[in-house]
Amino acid sequence: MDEHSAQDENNKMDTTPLPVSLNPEVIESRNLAPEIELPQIFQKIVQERGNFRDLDETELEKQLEEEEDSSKAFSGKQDPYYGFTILPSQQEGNDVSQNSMNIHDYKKELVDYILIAQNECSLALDMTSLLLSKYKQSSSDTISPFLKSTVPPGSLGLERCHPPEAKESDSILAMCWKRKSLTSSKNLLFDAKERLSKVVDSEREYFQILSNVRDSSWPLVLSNKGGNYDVSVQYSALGGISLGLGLVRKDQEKQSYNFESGLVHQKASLRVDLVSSTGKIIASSKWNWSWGIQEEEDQLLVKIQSAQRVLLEMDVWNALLQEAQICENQGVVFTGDTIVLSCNPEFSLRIFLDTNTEESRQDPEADFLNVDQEEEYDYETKKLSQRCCDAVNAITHILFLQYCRNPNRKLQQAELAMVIDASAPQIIRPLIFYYAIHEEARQFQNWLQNEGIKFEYLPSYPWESAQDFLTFENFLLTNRLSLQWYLDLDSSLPAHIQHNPTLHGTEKTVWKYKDAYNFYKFSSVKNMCQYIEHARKQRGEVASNAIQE
Amino acid sequence: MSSMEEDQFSEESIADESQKIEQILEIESKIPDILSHAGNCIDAIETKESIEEFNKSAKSFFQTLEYVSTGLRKQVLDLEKAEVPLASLQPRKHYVTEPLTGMVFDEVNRLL
Repeated sequence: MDEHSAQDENNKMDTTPLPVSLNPEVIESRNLAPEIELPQIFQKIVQERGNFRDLDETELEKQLEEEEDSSKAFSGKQDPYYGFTILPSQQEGNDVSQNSMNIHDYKKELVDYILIAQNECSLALDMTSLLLSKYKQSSSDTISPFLKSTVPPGSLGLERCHPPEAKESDSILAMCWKRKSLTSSKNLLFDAKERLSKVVDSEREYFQILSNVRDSSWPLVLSNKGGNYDVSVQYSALGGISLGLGLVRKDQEKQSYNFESGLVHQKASLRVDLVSSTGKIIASSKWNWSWGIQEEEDQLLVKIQSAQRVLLEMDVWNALLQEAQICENQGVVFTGDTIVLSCNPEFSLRIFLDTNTEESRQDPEADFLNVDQEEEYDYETKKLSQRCCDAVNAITHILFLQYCRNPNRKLQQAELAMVIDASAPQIIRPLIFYYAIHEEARQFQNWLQNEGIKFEYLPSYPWESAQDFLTFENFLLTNRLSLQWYLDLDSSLPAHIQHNPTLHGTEKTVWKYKDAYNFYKFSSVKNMCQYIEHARKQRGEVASNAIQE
Repeated sequence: MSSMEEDQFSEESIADESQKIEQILEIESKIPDILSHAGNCIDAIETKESIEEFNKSAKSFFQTLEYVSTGLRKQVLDLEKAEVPLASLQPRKHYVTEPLTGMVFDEVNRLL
């Protein structure tokens, strides 16, 4: 119906002659509308598409193509009211922007309202002050300076008059106002209760978790960071050098509680590799805390435990690094991430902190696979070298424990005199010490065997007499060993050699040779070997002389 | 409620720390009720217009308030009685505990 009438009208328009032709004329309003500035274009783009950084050429092209497609599809029905449909959407957009006011807008609004109120108040003050200034000199002080300068004091008067009639609407308004405020205060109370009980619920959850952590005997420490009191879990509670504190925080997205420690590594374990001179790994050993998987259901406790483990391993590593600084004279080379002990030209021990996050292997056989497969070593040798690495790793940890137990271990006077840094841990040095003793003894044995001298080697290591682990730990650090050798140079001449190596090199002459006539001290095996050779020769000459005579 | 109060605040009840925390959580869960009771008071006069309702709500309001305030004060007194230090102690560094030693030697045994 409407269409018909419209068409009719159109027909009429066409038919009725008009003085001015109604043909559309293109008028470029170039002079009227100023060109849009670039900043404005930026603003528009930011409004339409959000962040500027997300604009992507390919995506925009795709969008354009889609738009063209859709415009082709909709080209049939061109809505004359198309323009109107945009308007409401724009309004909605405006509403959204109003709702999401930030704190500065709130502040501005607050200041605005207060300014208005202050303005009103000062107006009233001005008026009354002006009135009172007629009768009292002092009240002119409260008139604002501007008013004082423009209006002479005492220019306002007052007169007695009838009170205005009370309006009925006023009392109704007052009552309604009060009722409304009562209702709103009631609603406010209920709303506040709702919010508060939610807060209380989450608090309860948090504190129950904390008390759970406490019940499993992890100490909690109250820390004060800039006025904020935080309850942190001391995950380094079991021991070690450094202090580790972590916070229990709620993960808002997952609705679960998380343990946040300041550690860089997820996992860390000390690894000892035996490396051949060609750079191939012969054996390797990785320290593994055996207490990792207890029957802990609680994920949080497991996380605390693993943090403790990582921190301990980092402590061990740092102690090693600290010690490596002072034992460079014993062939210890260290870079930031590895320590290399090269006592033997063929092999070297490489110690480093393995922070691989992949699953640590549980069985020792798997560790074996880690090693480069080499044909030149048989299974036995490999097994032995594996044991060597394991031992180094184990003793490192034991000595670390000893270091933690007695951080200020009293060194004896003689040791103190020789040691550069008395407070440094003693982990590498004992290891090298025992290795060096072994090497020396082996050299001597080889020499004796080559010479065909019968001998008896009676080493007595201090740890052999250890009753328990603690004494074992202490015995590993004995400064002086006493190793006995009995030589049978000739059937008539038994010699007794005492080897007294010292951990800190406090004694110069470590070999003491003693036979029926002589007592000599030597600083190295070589010298002593030469002396023994000399003594044998003398003996032989004496003996042959006796036979000749 | 009164029986529970007596139960919790009797001198004889010697609770360990986690139980204390439980008690405080119990008290804490009652705190929002203060607001709702106050709201109920207003509601009773304003919409229901009954004094009995108001009296009931007011009574429970004061009861809860009393419960919370005495409960918290009691906890503070208990803290003083247990001589809990005000500042948290500085944790030690450089030490070893028994369990750690045990674990290290367990692992040593495994390796060797």
